[in-house]
Amino acid sequence: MRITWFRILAVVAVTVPTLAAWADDWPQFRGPRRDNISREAGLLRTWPEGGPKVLWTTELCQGYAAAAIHGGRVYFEDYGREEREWYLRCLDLSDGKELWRFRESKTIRVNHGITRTAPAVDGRYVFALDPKCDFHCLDAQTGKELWRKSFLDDYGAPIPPWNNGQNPLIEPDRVILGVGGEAALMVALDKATGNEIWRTPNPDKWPLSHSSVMPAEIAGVKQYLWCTLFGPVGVDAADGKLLWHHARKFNVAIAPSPLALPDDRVFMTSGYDAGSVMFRVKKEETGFTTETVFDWTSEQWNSEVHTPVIFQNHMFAVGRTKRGLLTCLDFDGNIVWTSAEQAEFDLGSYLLADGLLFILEGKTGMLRLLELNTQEYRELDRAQVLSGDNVWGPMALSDGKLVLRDMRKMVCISVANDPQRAAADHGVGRGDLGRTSPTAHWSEAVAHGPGNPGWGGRPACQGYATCLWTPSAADGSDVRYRKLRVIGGRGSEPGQFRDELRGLATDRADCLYAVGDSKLAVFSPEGEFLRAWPTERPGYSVAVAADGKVYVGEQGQIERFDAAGRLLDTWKDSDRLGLVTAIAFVGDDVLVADTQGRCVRRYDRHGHWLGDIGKDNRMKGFLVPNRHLDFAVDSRGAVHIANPGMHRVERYSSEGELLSRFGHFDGTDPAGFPGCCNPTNVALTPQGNVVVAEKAGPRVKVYAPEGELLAVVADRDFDPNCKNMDVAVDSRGRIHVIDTVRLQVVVYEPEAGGTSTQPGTRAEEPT
Amino acid sequence: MNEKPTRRDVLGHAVRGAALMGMGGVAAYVSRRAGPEGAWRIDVERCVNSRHGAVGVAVCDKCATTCVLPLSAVRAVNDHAKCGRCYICPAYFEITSAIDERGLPSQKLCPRDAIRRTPIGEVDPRDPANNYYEYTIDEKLCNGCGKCVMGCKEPAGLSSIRLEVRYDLCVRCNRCAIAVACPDEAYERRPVQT
Repeated sequence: MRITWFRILAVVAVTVPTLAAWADDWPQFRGPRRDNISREAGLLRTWPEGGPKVLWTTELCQGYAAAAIHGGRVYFEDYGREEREWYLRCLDLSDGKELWRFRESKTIRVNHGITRTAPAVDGRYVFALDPKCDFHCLDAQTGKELWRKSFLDDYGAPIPPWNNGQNPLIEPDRVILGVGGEAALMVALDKATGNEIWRTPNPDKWPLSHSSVMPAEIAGVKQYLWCTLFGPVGVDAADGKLLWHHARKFNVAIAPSPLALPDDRVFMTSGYDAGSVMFRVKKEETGFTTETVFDWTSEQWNSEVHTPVIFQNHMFAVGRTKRGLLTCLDFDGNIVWTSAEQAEFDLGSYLLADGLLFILEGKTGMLRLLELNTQEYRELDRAQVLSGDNVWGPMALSDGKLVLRDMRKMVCISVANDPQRAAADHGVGRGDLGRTSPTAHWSEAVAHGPGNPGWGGRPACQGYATCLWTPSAADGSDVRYRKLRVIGGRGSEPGQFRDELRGLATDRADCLYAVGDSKLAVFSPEGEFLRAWPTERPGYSVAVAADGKVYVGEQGQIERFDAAGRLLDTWKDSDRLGLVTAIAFVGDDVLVADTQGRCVRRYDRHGHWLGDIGKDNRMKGFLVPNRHLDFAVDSRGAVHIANPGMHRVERYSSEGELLSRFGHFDGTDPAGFPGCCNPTNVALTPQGNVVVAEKAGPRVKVYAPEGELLAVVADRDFDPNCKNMDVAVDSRGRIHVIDTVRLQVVVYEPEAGGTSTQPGTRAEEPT
Repeated sequence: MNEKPTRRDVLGHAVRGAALMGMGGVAAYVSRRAGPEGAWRIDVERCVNSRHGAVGVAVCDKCATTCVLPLSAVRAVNDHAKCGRCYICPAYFEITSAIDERGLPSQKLCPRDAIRRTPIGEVDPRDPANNYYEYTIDEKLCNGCGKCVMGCKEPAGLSSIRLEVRYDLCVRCNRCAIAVACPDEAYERRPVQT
């Protein structure tokens, strides 16, 4: 019995630090799962002016060595050139204060940098392979060396050109190293003692390079993948037996590591004209074999330094032959998109978290924030965090803090959404947050998982659109809407649209104006069709001026009609006007949303351009990857503009001064805006509340002017493929929403007793 | 009143005349070699062999093959201040060739074996792969084929090697054959600063 309990305690002692590590630590190269993905959530989708807050900075000797983070401590290699000492340093993650520094006398000449690799730490031990291939196990708390190995002396391995580039792999009870020496190809060492658990023979003397060991399960067998200059190998994790070798020559040095893919495939890429290869590992009766799926020259595609990251069944990496372009590839090797003409990253590193890719420009140290997807390059923000050249070191993320380096310094920046959210990540209940309505509460009955883990105290939620939320107004009174009617629909009747329905507006009499195809249709306040007239081009937006003139926004022009539908004139501003997706009025001026210009343009009533709103921000315009820019004007003349790429609604003066903004990305909290780019459309209720429409999945919500979520009006009444659903609100507070797939208008009215029935401002021009 | 010129005057005029003629000849020579029409040079930002970002493309050897001279006036030059002094230099070795027992590529890149590789500095016998090496180009052998320039280009190398026109060899053809053949218009005539 004592033996049993001892074993249980031993297992707990060994595994607890490891289990504790996975939540939000970055305990080794490429993170806890070796996939270069952090499971942290609630990160900033846009950064403050001047970039993310720098928490601390520390000077470094030149190199590329990345940090490992565990339990609020940062571990990394460094070197003192004057002292001729190799260091393993431990800092406090919160303030950068050095807790300990292990020193070893060692002469290392600069050879394209000195340090290259990240330690591996489990909270109890920290392991580091120094540039001269001496392997150290230190006490993670004190920095005292516990045991060590020498690749040269113990395994007859050479030091590779440009010094060591391999990052050790930690497992619960052991550490795995590819040694590539005369005595062994790979070894598993006991963490506590350094005793060898197994070794893989190396009869052909395949030399080590800079590749690191990667864990994988292939054909039902857990194994360790590694790449030598003579090709990738798979080693049985249980006993170290060599399972397979995919014979293929690599050149000079191999920095990337093998990447396991679905269907027992392995992808390996490298520099020095080695190209890339994908092969399938097969388990047969006689053993394992490999079969090439494709084999590329470097002229086709390869990555010089970094191993791709897998996201949404695609690979993402910076390719050499595409001039340092971030590239999205499918598993069949097809290039889906690149960052061509938008960004070049040289050999910069990247890290994925919360659907965001942090990626460095290798030549400049510019850090870019991307919303990663398989459709297109989509940048959210950028900041000059580091300085070039040769900014190639990998990053590490823990507790909302991103640790990254250039050739001279290591910097820790805050990328957490805000301290309150960070607190929520650590289990503080939603009621403590205060950012959204304190009276808001989750309806757990309709929230269902699995999916992204929610914050502390919140239910998990599958996708973005299936979490319903029962809101309450800030003053405690309920804000409810009910579906009133549906207008129009796909068809060829006068009140229907055949191919497209895009823009809505209401006039002072609450008549509804809808544009699409190449016509405009007018409906009574009760939804009855009144009249229609043609437009020269398909309409994307419509507005009704106080004098009854009807403005229709189209591609490159605005047509003006009288109330009866007679064409008055056509504004064409060929120098600047693109696709017009919204129109409104301020005083004597006409505001026009120009999707191609990514701004709101201001004209006088004669069509003379006066200026732009939104062009002078850091992104030189609004982020509208969905090709739709929408805005609304309140009774004070303030312009409320949906900035979907930034996940917020911004309020400007009519002169273009930013007055306020609200909104943030959140895929689980209904108060946030999910997906790549939401909200897409915006309107104002009579008392100035902000109505927004979202896409993927389609949803309509109402916010107080300050950004407090008041109501989720609808999220199930639309075709799931709807996007850019225009919204109009009449004087009775009724919300009209376009279903862009069914080509109909869905009308919602405030329920009696609600707070949205007060007359006041509306989208139509005030008299 | 006219005085007859003396022998001394005649000799003086003759010497001055000869000197002027000599200066005129020198001026004509210089103006021909480096006059207003200038000298031929290679713009490394345009040359495909050295232009950053031009990767995965074939080496251009027009400088070596089209010059009217038997051995082109173009040479590869290594800027030692920029050179990384690598153990495995991608301009010296044919890096895709088989690896020998030292872990080095077994073939050289230069078809004329014009690059010399010499260990320099402190040599650590336990770590030969991280010693420094100096790479010098023998201009008597180099024909400006550009292979080493392409091999040294980033990201594999540091772009320390470039092609240059040797003015002492160039015969200043008015219609330079290399300039005509250059696909990138990198071979250009520039005024010479005097």
